[in-house]
Amino acid sequence: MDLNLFISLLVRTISLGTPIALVGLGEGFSQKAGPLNLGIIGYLSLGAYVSWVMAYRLQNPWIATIMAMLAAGLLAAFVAFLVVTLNLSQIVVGVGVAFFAEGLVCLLTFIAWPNYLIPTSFNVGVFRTAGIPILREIPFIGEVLFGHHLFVYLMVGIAFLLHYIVNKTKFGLKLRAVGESTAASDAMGINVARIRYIVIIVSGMLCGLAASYMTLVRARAYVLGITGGVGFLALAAIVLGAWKSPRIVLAALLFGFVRSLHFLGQAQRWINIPSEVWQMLPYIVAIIVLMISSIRIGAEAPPELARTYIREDEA
Amino acid sequence: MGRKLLSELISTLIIIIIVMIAASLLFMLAGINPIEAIRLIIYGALGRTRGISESLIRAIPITLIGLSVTIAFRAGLWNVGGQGQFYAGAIGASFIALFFPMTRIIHLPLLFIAAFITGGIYAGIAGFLRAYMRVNEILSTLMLNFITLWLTQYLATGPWSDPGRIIVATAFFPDSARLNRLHDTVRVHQGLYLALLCVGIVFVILNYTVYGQKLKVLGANLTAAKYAKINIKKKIVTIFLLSGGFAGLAGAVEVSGVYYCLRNGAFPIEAGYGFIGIGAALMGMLTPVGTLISAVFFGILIAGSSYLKTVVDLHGHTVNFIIGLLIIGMVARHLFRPKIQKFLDKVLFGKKELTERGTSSGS
Repeated sequence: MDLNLFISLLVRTISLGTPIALVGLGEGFSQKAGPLNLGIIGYLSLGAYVSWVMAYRLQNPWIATIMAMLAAGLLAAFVAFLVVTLNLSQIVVGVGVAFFAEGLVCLLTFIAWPNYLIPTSFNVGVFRTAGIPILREIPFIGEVLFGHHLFVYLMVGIAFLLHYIVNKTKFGLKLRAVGESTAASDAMGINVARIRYIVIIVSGMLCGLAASYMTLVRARAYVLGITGGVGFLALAAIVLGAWKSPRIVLAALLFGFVRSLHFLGQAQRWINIPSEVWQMLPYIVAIIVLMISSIRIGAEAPPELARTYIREDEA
Repeated sequence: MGRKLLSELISTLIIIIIVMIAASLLFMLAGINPIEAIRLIIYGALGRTRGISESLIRAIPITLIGLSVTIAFRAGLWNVGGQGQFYAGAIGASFIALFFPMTRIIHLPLLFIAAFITGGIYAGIAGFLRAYMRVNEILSTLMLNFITLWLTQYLATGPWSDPGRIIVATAFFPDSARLNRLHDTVRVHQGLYLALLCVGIVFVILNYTVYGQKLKVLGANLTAAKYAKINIKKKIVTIFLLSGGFAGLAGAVEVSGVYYCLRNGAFPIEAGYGFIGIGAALMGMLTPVGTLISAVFFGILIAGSSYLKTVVDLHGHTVNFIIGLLIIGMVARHLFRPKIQKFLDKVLFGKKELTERGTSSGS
């Protein structure tokens, strides 16, 4: 394998792994306090649509990204209302919101561009510049690590920030307590509902950022269903990363690598493996990963994961 | 009991009305006249014999996957892999249909048995992982969905494909492996009887067998299940096998009743029957008969909106926002259903609320 191909494989690993990492970081943060959001699939679709339509209308990718984060955060806040305030099942609401958002995005796309004549990057204010000026000139290392968009480095920053918040701050202590035992934290006077609202909304906003990265940075295009698969792989990355932010990033990069093998397999044709096998490979890896993780760290999942908490005075 | 059912029906109706109002508002936003849209949906789904047939065609697989979901969710197992098991069943059925030609009377049953087994074993993987390795079944079933999706595409475009066909697909099944249409002019097929039969079977299993009783105990309370001497691990695996089997049958009726071949891209995963089946089961209160009714309702909705598509060029998945709202509405219904029941007690049945008065004076 020649060096250029190897470099582009690693570059792809990072650019495909970044959205998985962003979703995984937010959702992992949320799961640490209990809530499981299957709605991330919906937040991603909505975020992708909003980022593209705003970048088209305003011709400014930065504002578009912020709008995408706000829209996805708003949808997440609606989910938080359903699962925290109304105590509805997180799994059922998650499936419902994923459906709702997908249909809604189809309708909104139709409203924005009748007959789905979606504008291409030529007419949309996508992100153009990429890379860190001097560092990206370094041979190999620079080409692999420093030629990316700012969002990639932002993702790494977010990973460490979340890790710090969870492990070193008072808020993080409360958050972990809620994920360990909701009833006990409630008895200690921790505002369980407030913490869960915050983590669910953060998870939604990071989905918005991930979606914006996918449309405005990586693909520089928008089609319906562009975010497919990322949400599911992020869920697996969280388990592999054992709910710890830096490890979630590494897990996401592993999935990014497996996905970029598809590209390599086609470019090289060194093995006659059909495209479909490359497509299903990340999910096979995910299942193997789930098996290995369960043997190794099965007990580390937050005990309150996906459980609805109903206070005794309400029950 | 009758009052409970009545309050369930009324609260379901309220949710449907609220969702329809919300849907109308969104249609208005898109510049589509909501009354016209609803008229077209109803006409497309129920207006002609053909419409009714199209609605039923969609209701058949949704019912079967809904039954699969009902079994698993009743046991407290979140099998959200109906889509993957659907494809597994379709692959199993196609294998028998294409490579083992024989007389119809053996071929068709064998095809369905194969689909039940492949769907069941595929779900059984998740069941085994859950029972013996503590792998979260939500995650494993979600991942398994994608593997059979791509496997179907691989088989239909690669080794099993028939180069003589215009679209990329396998050869047509022989007549012995096809479900007959109920009438020459409509597409609805004998799979309808199979779906009804399965509703009956699951109803009996859940309500009149020891197995069904144990399944419900497992769903209600794990500790109680242990005390009732239920072998939980084995039970989890068998429940997944059974649950996946019905989802596999859904795949079989699609290939042998509608398409007569295994083909690629017929059902995109995000909007596939697998997830709509979850909605139908939840809307049907996790009961077989309720699931059937909801599946017919969703069938009408989907068939109607694909008719709408011929008039307004909306993407086929647009209807999902209505389905999503209904799914959320169905769980939200439990918030106000007891109040409706109390209201009914007072107004219709004139019963005084003895229990509540008793507790309030006691405390």
